[in-house]
Amino acid sequence: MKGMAKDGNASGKSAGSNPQWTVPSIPIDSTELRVNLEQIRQKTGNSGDIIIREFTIGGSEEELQAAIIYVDGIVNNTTINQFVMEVLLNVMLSNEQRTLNDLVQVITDKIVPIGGLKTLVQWDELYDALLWGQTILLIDGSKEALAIATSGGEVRAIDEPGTDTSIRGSREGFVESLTTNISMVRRRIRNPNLWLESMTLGQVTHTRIGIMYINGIADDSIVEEAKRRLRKIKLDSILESGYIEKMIEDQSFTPFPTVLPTERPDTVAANLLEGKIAIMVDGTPFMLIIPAVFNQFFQITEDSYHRYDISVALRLLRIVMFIISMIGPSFYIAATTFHQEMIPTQLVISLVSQLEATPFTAFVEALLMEVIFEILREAGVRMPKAIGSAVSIVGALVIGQAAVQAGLVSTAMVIVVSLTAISSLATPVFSIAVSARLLRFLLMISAATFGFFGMILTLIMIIAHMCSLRSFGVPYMAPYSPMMHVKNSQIHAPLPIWMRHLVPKLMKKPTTEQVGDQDGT
Amino acid sequence: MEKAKISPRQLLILVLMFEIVSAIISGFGAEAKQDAWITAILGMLGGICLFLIYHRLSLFYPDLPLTEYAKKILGPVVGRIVALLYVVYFLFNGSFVVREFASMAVSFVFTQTPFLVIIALMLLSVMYVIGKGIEVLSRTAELFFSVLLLVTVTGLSSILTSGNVNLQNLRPVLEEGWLTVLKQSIPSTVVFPFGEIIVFLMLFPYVNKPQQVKKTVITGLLISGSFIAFVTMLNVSVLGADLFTRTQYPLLTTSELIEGRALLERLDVLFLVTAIVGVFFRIGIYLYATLIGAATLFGIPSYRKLMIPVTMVMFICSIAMAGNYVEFIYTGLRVVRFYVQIPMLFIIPLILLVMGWFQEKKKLKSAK
Amino acid sequence: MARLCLSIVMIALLTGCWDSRELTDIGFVVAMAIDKGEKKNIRVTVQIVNPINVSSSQGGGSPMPLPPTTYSAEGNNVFDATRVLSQKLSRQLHYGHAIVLLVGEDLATTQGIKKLFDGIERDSEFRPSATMVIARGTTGEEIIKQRTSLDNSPAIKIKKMVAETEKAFGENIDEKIYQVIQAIVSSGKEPTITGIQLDSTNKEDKLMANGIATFKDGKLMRWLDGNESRGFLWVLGRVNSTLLTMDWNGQPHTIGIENIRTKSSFHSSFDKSGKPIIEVKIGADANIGEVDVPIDVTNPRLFLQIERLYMQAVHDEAVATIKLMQQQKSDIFGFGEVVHRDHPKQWRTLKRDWNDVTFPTIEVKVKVEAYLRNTGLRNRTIMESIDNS
Repeated sequence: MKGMAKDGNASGKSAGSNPQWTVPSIPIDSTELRVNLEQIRQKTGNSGDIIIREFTIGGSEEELQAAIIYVDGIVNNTTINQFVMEVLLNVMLSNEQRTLNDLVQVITDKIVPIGGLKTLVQWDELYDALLWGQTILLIDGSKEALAIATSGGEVRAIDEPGTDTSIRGSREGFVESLTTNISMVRRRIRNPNLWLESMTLGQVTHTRIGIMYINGIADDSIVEEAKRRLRKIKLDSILESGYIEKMIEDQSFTPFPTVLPTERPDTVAANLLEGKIAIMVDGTPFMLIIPAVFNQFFQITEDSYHRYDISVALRLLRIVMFIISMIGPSFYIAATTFHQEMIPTQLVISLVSQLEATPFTAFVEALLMEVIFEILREAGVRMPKAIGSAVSIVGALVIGQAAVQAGLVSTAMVIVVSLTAISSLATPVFSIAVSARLLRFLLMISAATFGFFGMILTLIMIIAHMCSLRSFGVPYMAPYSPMMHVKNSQIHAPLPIWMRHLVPKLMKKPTTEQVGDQDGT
Repeated sequence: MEKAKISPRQLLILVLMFEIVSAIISGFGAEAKQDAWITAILGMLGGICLFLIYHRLSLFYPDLPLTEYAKKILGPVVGRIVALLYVVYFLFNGSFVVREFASMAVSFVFTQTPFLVIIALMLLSVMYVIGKGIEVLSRTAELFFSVLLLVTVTGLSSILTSGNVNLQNLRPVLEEGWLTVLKQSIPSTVVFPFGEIIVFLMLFPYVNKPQQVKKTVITGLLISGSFIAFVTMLNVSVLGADLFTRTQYPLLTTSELIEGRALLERLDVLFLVTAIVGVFFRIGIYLYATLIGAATLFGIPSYRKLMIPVTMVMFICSIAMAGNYVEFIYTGLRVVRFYVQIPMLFIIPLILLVMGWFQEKKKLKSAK
Repeated sequence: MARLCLSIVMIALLTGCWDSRELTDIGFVVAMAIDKGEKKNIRVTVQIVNPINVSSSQGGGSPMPLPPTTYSAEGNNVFDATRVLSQKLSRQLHYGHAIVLLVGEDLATTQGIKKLFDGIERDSEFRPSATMVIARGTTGEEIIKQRTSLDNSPAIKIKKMVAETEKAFGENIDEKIYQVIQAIVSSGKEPTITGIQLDSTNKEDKLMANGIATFKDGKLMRWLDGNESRGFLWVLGRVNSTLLTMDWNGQPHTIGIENIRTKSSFHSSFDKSGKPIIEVKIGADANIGEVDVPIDVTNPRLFLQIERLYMQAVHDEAVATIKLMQQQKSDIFGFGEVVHRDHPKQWRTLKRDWNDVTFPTIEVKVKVEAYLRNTGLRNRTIMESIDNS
């Protein structure tokens, strides 16, 4: 036996003795098949789903020992059987081929009829490939292993996206498989400039990350910055893109998101075309788009599909609803507690008659109702689908109505809170609706203590905070402020052709102009 | 000095917010009665003249704020004194604005609250935003500007359609004659609010297109002057000369008189909102000017270190300024106007201009 | 650091809000009446919104109107009296919704109204746009305590009624507090305020508007009624809709003209002796409202004749009121203001004795231009058809 493989692993098969999380990048240094296989068995603890199939590669005089290793469940069994096993078992190697050192190379070049073949020399590469559904071919007498692309296995079928449904536009949503997701984007942008860079993150999970951008449109400095930040991530596990989102955002001490998650390939494609970068994480259908500014959280891809009058109107409506969801209860509290002369007389009269019956101050009432609503919302989300709708209807009607009749809250408050809640649901992206929910409480407190004065001051501070945010260098509140001028942006303002030169610019790199041969409707 | 940059558009918005708001709130030109709007226009013209002086001054050293080139023009000793004077001047003006606003808030809305609290809250918020830098302040101003515009348009159109406007109230025009009007405008309306534009001399180094500064500020002054004149005309035509002179806050009274359309009826709160936002930026600019001036004067690299002490001084100054409202008005209108504003806004800049001009000529000669 | 933040937050929350008031702690004053006091100078009555009234009407629509909730107190002046009121109330008074201010006739005649307004004006809550009325033939307190059938409270009824009747009938004037103050302060105009009195014929809802009170030197001087008050409104151009009946060929009250809108303008000039001349131009648009004589209204000449008759009628009413007020030495029209605006220099000497000396002697030329527009939905008259058939 030539040399024991030195990989610092604990000898022995027990899993309890100091396993290493990461596989060091040590080259395979034994040419003996038996040794290598033994190592693999040890490392994987003889897991039942890792299949090691030893065989001999067909030939005349000397038998050539070989083995394939694959993980059952994430490989395509047909491919293995037909294109690997059958071929290898039936191949006839000439003598000289057999004695060559680069037998693996020969097999690669001439024998195995599969597209993705890669020669591996390091252990970490080997495990990586293995756990990604590739079949590893080890040959006795060679230090090299061959990784054969045979990924397969059950994945979720492409279905409607769970969160971002649309009236018009494609019904495809991302799935959990990275390759499928990447392919969905590729199918929309069939341009060689659409580049993909891969990375593996997560010390334990070894999750594969993909970064896609269109070279020539995307700002190179932002791409570099993104890659830099990703490389700095030193987590054990990356189970979802949210883990990454938190690590790469500009500022964590803010309630506002600076990264846009999306489940839709057409959104990703539209954003890529505007120079943004998509980060894809295996195992989750949610892709991240960076850089993301405030305006993007109120845009749905459909805005570009529908006609502009309705898109612009709806976009404004969404922003207005966001604002309502933030200042709704505080407005009510400020008006009824400090500025009673502002309310029309008739309304004041009916408010007083309602509030006679309730024991709490406006602020406490509002707080109570908001908390109840949050509870209802959380409960509704966790419910199994069968009971879900019933509970939410029951919750809303019964609890709201009953609370009013029991004299706990006033009808006006119920209306205010319901309006706020519905407004917050109108916000397309969940992460920013959440910021409104949180800031709402802050504003309620300031309204309860200092009326409109407090509310306005707090609003100014919030907006100043938003103005100071940057997403990968891009000011968060662009294009509202600072207003910079450039050509098209379907995302920021889907305007008719003749108006497009008025649209403000966001990123410094000029986007490619859309070839204007439309018939200017 | 920080590395920020603001665009001419942002500068315009800052000028507009700065000039318009305070004048709308307080009793402006009340001594001229129904001719107050004429004093507004005259004040605007005077202010533009003053600004031309200031701008020419800034051209000597376009990258430096006022306090810095005072040092350069007048020499290290005198220059430093002058710079210190201006720092204190801006600090005082800022406290004045805070106090004015707090008095209004207390007489209008927060009748039971000690105005100390109002001042404290306002200063804390301003401090927070200023701490983020002039760029953030300008961007926030940009955002709020559209809101304010909407509010203003709503308010003004409600007033116009309320049926209370009686143009006859503006007559007789120039009842007291040109001379009286001039006597009142030059000292008071040129100084407030137009002369205060001198504060912006501290901000010019930040503008990313310096050649547009002159045009931008003059446009801002023109717009604000016309707007103030318009609002004053509106006030007089609704209230009549007598009531206009007697109310502390004419626009407030005017908006109280609107009725008819149920929703637009009770707009006094809109008035409060406009006041808060506008005053916020006014104080912000003054505070920022003070901080930058002090930081460059005392050689402190980052103005943020001075934020808390300067804000506290402003706080105390605004409270100690006067014991009650009457004293406050008296101080502001009589004492300050003559003994403080005139030297700071007229005399010293003129001296700086003249000396700077000589200095430049010397430099050109020695360059040859 | 965390402790610092926490203490700041606690300070902010605990020091709380000096000015915050819960809606249930507030008594919303919708109307205030000022009368002459028995024991002290002034007696103030406030009407407060009673939520129970409202909610019961929302619940089942009870047909019985509930009497409004009122409280009275006496004091040395208005401000003083309102403070005494707090002894009787479980709520803090809030004047932001006060829409009506009543002054009792008694008080207006004896003490006058000049001293009543300063406190009201200064207050941050009381809106100067509230309607002002004089309680006629009774005290303001009585008026405020009345039940109403259609409206929730007397305050709303008075406010709406005064506004509506100015538009619909033209014999009352809708004056707001700030307009009254403007008139009091000005030496070229005297205030005029509508009167509210009790109509004994209607059991359920006794409030009605009747007459215009004219003042001199802040004291109530004389009531204008019927055509007198309408004449006043003609001069001001504030008559909208009214019905003016004229005689035709000796038959009294046979043609009724329905006025639609009026406009007026004033001009002042001086005659050779330096006496002011005021020119009043009144323009009215009207329709034929009722014709009870058998004439052919479709005849254009006849139509024009009616129009001229109308102009004359309007002219006469206006002139009558002007002459009356000249006798009374009170310039309620604002002619003095007109002279002030047109000729400020001369006004300076004239304004001192305007009401007593100059106004009674000035010449006022009234010129009326009326336009009859159409005849309604019918053309010829019924009477004519009766005669012809």
